[in-house]
Amino acid sequence: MDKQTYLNRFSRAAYWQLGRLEAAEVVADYAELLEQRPPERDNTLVQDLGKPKAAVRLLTEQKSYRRWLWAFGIMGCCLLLLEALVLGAQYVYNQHLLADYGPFAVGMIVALVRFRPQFHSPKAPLPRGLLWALAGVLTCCTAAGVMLASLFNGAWDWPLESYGPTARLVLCVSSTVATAAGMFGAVRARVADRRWAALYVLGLTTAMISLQIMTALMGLSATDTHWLQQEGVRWAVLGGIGLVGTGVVLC
Amino acid sequence: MLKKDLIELCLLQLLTMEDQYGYVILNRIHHSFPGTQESAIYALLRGLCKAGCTEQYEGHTSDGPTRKYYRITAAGRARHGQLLEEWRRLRDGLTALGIE
Repeated sequence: MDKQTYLNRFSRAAYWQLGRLEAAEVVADYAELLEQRPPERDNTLVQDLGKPKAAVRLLTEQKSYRRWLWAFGIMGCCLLLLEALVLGAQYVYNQHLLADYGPFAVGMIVALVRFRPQFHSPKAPLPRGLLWALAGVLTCCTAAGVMLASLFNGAWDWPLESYGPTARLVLCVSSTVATAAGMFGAVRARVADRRWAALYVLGLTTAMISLQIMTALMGLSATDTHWLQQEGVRWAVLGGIGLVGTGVVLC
Repeated sequence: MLKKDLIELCLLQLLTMEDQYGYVILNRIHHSFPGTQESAIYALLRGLCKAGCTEQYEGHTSDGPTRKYYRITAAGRARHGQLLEEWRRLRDGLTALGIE
């Protein structure tokens, strides 16, 4: 293993296990140490320093790392559970409040606590790509909303029997995109900048609203006439909570 | 007294003599403890830094480049004295048993 490969592997493990601030210091120290090693000692790199992951493990405060793993596990489970409920909605008709509001609330609280704003630290510019990623998820949501609205307003001259499968496909796609973006945001929040957690919060909100729309559509009967007004308020409140959460994490 | 404490004692001992940069410290300790990987020595050095026994600063070597130097602090000197005392007790105990 050459120095650069060693440093890359060490850096990846360090940022994940130690968090951004500590990892940056440790990686800088290792870069300096490796730079000073004479080239003839390259073949004993792993023997002298240990494998990169093992070297990082020696520096890891196990209690703090376990806390992070718990938080990441909870955040991941909440998001994936909502996604699973959306994808499996034709098999599991979900009307239990705890089954969808629970993961939404828990995921949101853990993300807000773990990646809370740090007002005492100096303000850095927003990480590159974060605004684009947020805009991408919002665009995907908006496109899904416009497609559903067009579908149910009869804007397209489609046969009635295709409404359900199309609506389901649109919701599944928007929820899957949001879930993938949310998981990516949670990882980036750990290794790069805590404000990437905003992408997780937005992804969680999108998955939650997709699930709510799916549940509402599946529970419709021919006698329901004012369902959109009743449900619309709920979706707007959820969207509002999500946007506020996203804004808080971005602070 | 564990091997970890012995290495800490050596690290602090080196720094009581003069400020050093990471590579030199690790090399010298690794030379005295060839069975211990440099990453383990670095972890102990970082532990001492986090405990406030040493501190880092940017300095220049004689041949030019900037390096991160380590220096011992007052807390480090106290820890050094404590570890030295432990080592002396251990050494006297071993000598009394005929181990030299």
